[in-house]
This record gives sequence, structure tokens and C-alpha cells, in this order.
Amino acid sequence: MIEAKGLSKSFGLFSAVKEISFNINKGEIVGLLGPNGAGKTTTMRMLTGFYEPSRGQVKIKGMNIDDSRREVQSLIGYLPESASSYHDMLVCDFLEFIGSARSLSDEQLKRGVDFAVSSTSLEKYFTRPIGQLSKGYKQRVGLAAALIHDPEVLILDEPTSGLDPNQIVEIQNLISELAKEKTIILSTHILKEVEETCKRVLIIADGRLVLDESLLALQGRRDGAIRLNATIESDNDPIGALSEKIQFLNPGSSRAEGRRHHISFATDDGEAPAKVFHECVARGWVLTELHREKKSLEEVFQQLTGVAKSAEG
Amino acid sequence: MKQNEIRLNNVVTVFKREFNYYFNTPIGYIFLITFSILLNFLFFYIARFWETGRSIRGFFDLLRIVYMFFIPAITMRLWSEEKKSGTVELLFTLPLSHTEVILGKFLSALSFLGVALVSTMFIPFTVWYSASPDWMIIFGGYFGAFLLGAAYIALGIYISWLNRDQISAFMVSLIVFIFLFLLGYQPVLQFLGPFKEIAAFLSVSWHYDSLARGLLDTRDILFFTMVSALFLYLNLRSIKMAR
Repeated sequence: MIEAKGLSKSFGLFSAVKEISFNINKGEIVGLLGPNGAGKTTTMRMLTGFYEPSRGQVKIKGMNIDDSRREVQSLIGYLPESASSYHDMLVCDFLEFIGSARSLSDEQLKRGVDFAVSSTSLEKYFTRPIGQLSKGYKQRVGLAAALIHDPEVLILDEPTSGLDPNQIVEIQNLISELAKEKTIILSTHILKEVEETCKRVLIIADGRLVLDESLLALQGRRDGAIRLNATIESDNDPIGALSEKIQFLNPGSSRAEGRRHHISFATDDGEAPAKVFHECVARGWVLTELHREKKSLEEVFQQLTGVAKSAEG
Repeated sequence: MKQNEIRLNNVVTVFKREFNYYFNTPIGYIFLITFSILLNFLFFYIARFWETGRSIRGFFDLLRIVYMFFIPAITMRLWSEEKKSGTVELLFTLPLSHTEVILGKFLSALSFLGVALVSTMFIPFTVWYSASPDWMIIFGGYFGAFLLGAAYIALGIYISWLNRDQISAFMVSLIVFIFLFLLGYQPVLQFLGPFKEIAAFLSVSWHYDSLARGLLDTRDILFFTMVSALFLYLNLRSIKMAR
């Protein structure tokens, strides 16, 4: 459905997006992740035809966006990151403007407005000036405008930014509902959001695509790596002895409280908890606490985007 | 289907949005009232209509000066506000062509100017009541004023595209309009010596003068149409460059 091939965008000497390629199938819901300034918005702007790629191309439903911009844009519902509506207009007038810009018939417009307004719960604000609405409601107006023509593809740039926790849940539920029949790309820097709504993750760092994986595979990858936290009573710091028996993924940390040592380290050794236990028995240490943490998406994210950054520097 | 095809209903959509803006907010009414009061004040008080020859001629001269402030005021926000607030992204991701958007914006400002010109009709009627004017001059004058307005609006919208801020768009337009005005001013032309023919030809006011005298010369009409088209085209070019 969405095909990006070697997508690059430079502004003068600065290249914001470098050689990004991916394929998104019909019905997929994909999270676009990355630190601020990584190139998420620039990528989305190329997908929606706002920017012309410096190199590479975008095809949506097999159509090249440069050749058939109008047709492609008719298929897409887009929620831009910043102002997504005219604040001087009433909600109803704005939606009508969008409908007419999309050449909807009166019938389509009525159906589209009804659907968009009810799914974003805007009924009460229908005849209010957009400028007077709170940030969360302005965001809903933008989302309603993106839905009005029942688009096959939805591109949402940080759909939940600036919303309160309840609103975030509402919007996430709406997105999950829409995902049943639409192809969706959403960008965010809230990782939990991706875990809750998306089936696949693209991570961009410094303009490059550093990860393109399904969430399931990512979870598998994360199961391999665990973080162990242990509290051990011993005379000496046990971390040195443990690191000889177990392959650490990071230097590990140790904090002492008298004889008590709180240690923490990451490893991909599945036997690590048992090894800690045996080591304690062998050395006569008292193991008072031991628990494993799954590696979170955050750690994958930090690892990938951190690595990309240090490779760049 | 052709990519460059201009769909009239899309132009109308943009036109309606922009034209309504002037009346959705108090801004349009403020502009109209200021425009009208200023012109009446200048015409009857400063240009001393009653004491001098009671001629309509001075009205169109004044209009040209009031334009230098009025046109930038109605064009300044057309792009700069979209760029500043970010709505330009919304606009350009709708299935509208850039040409349709530019034309819609241009026509909305031009229609607003039309409303403003109609609101000045009080003056020619006063002239008609107190003297016996040549209707050809009044008609030609309004026609010329409309064409001059179109050229200024096209230029003003282009300047608005080049500025992220309304106030700078206003100031830059004002300076450019003053410059264009002076280009046709006799003392300046004398100073330019051998280049004065070119300067006079390029000067907007030179073409306007003959229209304002009631001479409907196709060359002058063509001049204003070409200037309008040129700046609308330059605007389109720079939008494409910015993508």
C-alpha cells in the first residue's frame, strides 16, 4: 500500500532523511519512532506529498506521488504535527471546507462529517470557533478532518501530543478501531503507545531507518535480554565475581548499604538467575532478593538510537 | 487525468475560505471602514475638493496612494500566516493543486478590493451632484484602479509568501509599492536620464495615469494583466522550489 524507496530529503547542506526504504501492506498499523529531530516529520511530509523527496520515491497504492499527487492525496487522511486547522473558523465550517476541498458530494460530506464528529466526540463543539477550543479538542478537529473522506491510508503525526491521559486513551482506542480497515502510520515518541496500538515498528535515528520489525519479533528479541536485580549480603562487592561467571551486556551497577549490595546488570544468558544463586551458595553469601526485568521497548529504542548517534559522532 | 488541470470548484473552495476570513473576523470591516474614511478625508479635506476645480481626477490620484497601505494590509496574511501557524501543511496535503490555491487566494483579495472600491462610490456621486463629471473618466478610473489593484495584490501575495511574518510582509510590500510609485514620478525620471523610458514603462503609475484619465488603452490593460500573471507565476515557482 505504501512503498518508500531510497527516500532522502536535504535542506541545503543538512540532510534530514537519508535513504529510507520500507513497504507497508494494506491494513497494517505501523509506529514510526525516533528521537526529536530524527526525521519522522520530514518522512511523513514526503509520504503525504507536502515535501518532494530530494532522492527516492513514494508510491501509494501503486501510484507515484510525484506523478499523481492529487489522486494520492485523495487517498490519504493526514494529521500534521502542528496546527491542523484554521483557528478563525467554526468546527462545522472547517469540516465543510475540508470536504469541499476533497470534492465530496453533499451525501458523502454529510456521512463523513457525521462519522468524523461522532468518532472524535466533537458534537458539543460543532458550532464553536476552533480557536476557542482546548488543545485536546483542536487535535480532535484535526483528526476529524483527516477522517472525513473515509481515507484508505491514515498518516498521523504525533496524534496524542498535548493530550491528557484520558484523551490519550480515547484517541488510542479510536486508532485501534480505525486500524481494522485502514492502513495507518503514526509517529510518536511515547513508546507505550506503539506497544498498545501498533503491529510493527520503524525506528528512525539521525535520518536513517535503524529498525523495521514487527512488535512480536521485537518482543522475542527482548525476551533474549533480561535485566537482573539482586540484593546480596557479603563482605566484598559481589559484582566482580558474578561478571566472571555471567556474560554482562553492560558494566552493571552495584550500590552498597553496609554488608548489603544491591546489584543490577543486563545479560542475554537465560541461566543467569541460577548462576547467581549457585555463586552465592558457593561463596557463602546470603541472597535476599533476586528478580528479573524484561527489557522494555525503551531499552531497544535507547540502544538503537544511541548507537546511531555515537556512530554518527 | 492531467496533473496540471485547474478545477474551478477547487479554486472556489479556497476563494470562499479566504474571502470569508475577511468577514469572519472584525478585520475586514476595520479595513473597509478605514479605507473609506481615509479616502473621503483625503479627498474632501486634504485635496480641498470644494475649493479647487471640483474634479474627480484627484480621487484616483489619492486612491493610488491609499493603495500603498491598503493592499499590503489585505495581502499580508495570505501566506505568511499559513506558514507561521503551519496550516500551509494542511492546505498542501489536500488534493488541491498549487495553482488552484494561489488563484483562490488572489481572487479572494481581489474581490475584497472590489467591495472596498464599491464602498467609495459615495465620492463620484458627490462629484456628480456638485459638478458635471465625465462618466467615462469615472468608469475608466475605477477600471484602472481595479487593474492596478490586481497587479498590486499579485505582488503583495508573492511578498507574503516570502515572509513568515505578517508585519514584515506588510512593510516589504509597502516599500516595494512606494518604489514602484516613484519610478513613474517626473523628478525621478529626469534623474534616471537615458533609462527613463524603461523606468516609465515599468512604472505602475505611468500606466495607471492614462487609465485614470479615461483612456482605455489595451497596452495598459495588458500591462497590468501581465504583471499580475507574472507575480502569480513567480509565486507558484517558489512554492514548488520550497517543496
